[in-house]
Amino acid sequence: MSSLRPLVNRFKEELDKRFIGNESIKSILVLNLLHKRSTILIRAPRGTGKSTLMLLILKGLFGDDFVVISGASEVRRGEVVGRLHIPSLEKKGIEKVLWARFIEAQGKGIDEVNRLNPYTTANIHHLMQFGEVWAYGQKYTIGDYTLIANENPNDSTTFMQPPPFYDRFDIAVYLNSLSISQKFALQEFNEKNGHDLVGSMPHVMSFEELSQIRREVEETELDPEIIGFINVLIRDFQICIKGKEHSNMPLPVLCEGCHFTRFVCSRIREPPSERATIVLLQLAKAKKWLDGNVEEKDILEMAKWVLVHRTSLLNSEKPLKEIDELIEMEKERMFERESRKQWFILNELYSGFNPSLYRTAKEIAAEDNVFAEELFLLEEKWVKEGKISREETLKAELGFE
Amino acid sequence: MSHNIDNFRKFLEKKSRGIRINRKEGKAFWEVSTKGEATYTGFLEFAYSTKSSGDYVYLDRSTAFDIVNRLNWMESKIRSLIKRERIMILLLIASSTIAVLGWLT
Repeated sequence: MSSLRPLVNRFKEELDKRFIGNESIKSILVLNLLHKRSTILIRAPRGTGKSTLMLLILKGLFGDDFVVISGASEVRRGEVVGRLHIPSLEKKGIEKVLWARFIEAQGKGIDEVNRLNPYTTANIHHLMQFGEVWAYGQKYTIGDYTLIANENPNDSTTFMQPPPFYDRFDIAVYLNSLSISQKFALQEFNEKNGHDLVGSMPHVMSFEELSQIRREVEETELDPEIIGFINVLIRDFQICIKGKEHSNMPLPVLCEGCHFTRFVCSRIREPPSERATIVLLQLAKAKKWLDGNVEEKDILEMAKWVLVHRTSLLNSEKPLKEIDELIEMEKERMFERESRKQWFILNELYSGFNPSLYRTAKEIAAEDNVFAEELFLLEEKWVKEGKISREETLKAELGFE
Repeated sequence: MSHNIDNFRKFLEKKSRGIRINRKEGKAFWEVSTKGEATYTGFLEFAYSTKSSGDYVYLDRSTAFDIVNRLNWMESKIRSLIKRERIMILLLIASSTIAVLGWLT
């Protein structure tokens, strides 16, 4: 057992004491902090504590050594990226860049990210995508960091930030307002701590300790079944047998006549990126490192916060409720897959072609598009090897040839 | 399929743990080995495995359609058999009556 686990547990306890309510999101927040270049987006209406939560996390991890920029104010390039060192330019004619503290700091916060001007957003997007920033033709390579941003999605002065920018955030959590008993608990804590919630948060771990934790989490090995579960789950959200990704036809028109309309694919306008798989794998490793094990039900719980901001839903009025429903559908689908023993049949078919098992596999494929996709690949191989004709393939039978 | 699928095969093999396949007369049968009582619930296992199933058995739509087709065929077969049986009974009664009348006279 790692000697650093108690530090993470203490961090969570200190956060629990100060951030009252919203229990469901605290575990995922902590887990997401345990991998390199961790990014979190907090979404909530005004006054529900999104800035407080951001500051509490940054204070607990970095003490006073963090930088927060505010999207609501007119942030300039010099404050976010860097500015020219004028004396060097005047005296020596050299363009020396003084990099901004926001770039150098390991703890970064962005308050009201949806109010950032598009230019600043582009710089931060580049930072998150490539781990570097550019100013005056010079590059600064960013090491490990933690970036926490917040926004009120109902804010009327919001800029329309591009979806790929939001996709760069590992998770997005949504906060609720406090119940009466929670209000009492918060008031009591504030009384005891001189109404300085953030100031009372201790610096729980050093950056070296956090880096060591992140290394250990990265080296944690996952069971192939968990990796497979994550891959199948995300594939379910991505797959479209009618080629949604490259079609101009909108949903639900595209789904008309499709055999698979009862699956989650028919309720997803734009599927999540491959980053969803990467983030879920990182979270699964963090869970295993911290608690000693990770199960399929944990993956389903975590998936909600990984998918909600990177999936464009057909029914987008209540994204959290819709994602909950889709994940519930996935639970049933995974159970059906287990009952059908379909992965066993696919494994047998990978070992060698068998007409009887192939017939069973074709029947299963009619009930599962993800399985069908894998069978299509095997059929392609068998057609080349002359084991089956192209006409008798499932792909031809379903009319996808 | 030129990409590396080693980990995918590991996943499939892990999922296939405890399932053994037997082939007989061109048909494939598989057995699920479980600790204690057998508890699988899939209809295909129920039909193909030699071991007993759990209390509830689930089946997919295509298998359900297959079963409905077979039930319909069996029902039509039963109806035609009942018809034949009635005709046979009538014939038996008629021939018995003729035989009895012949014996009396």
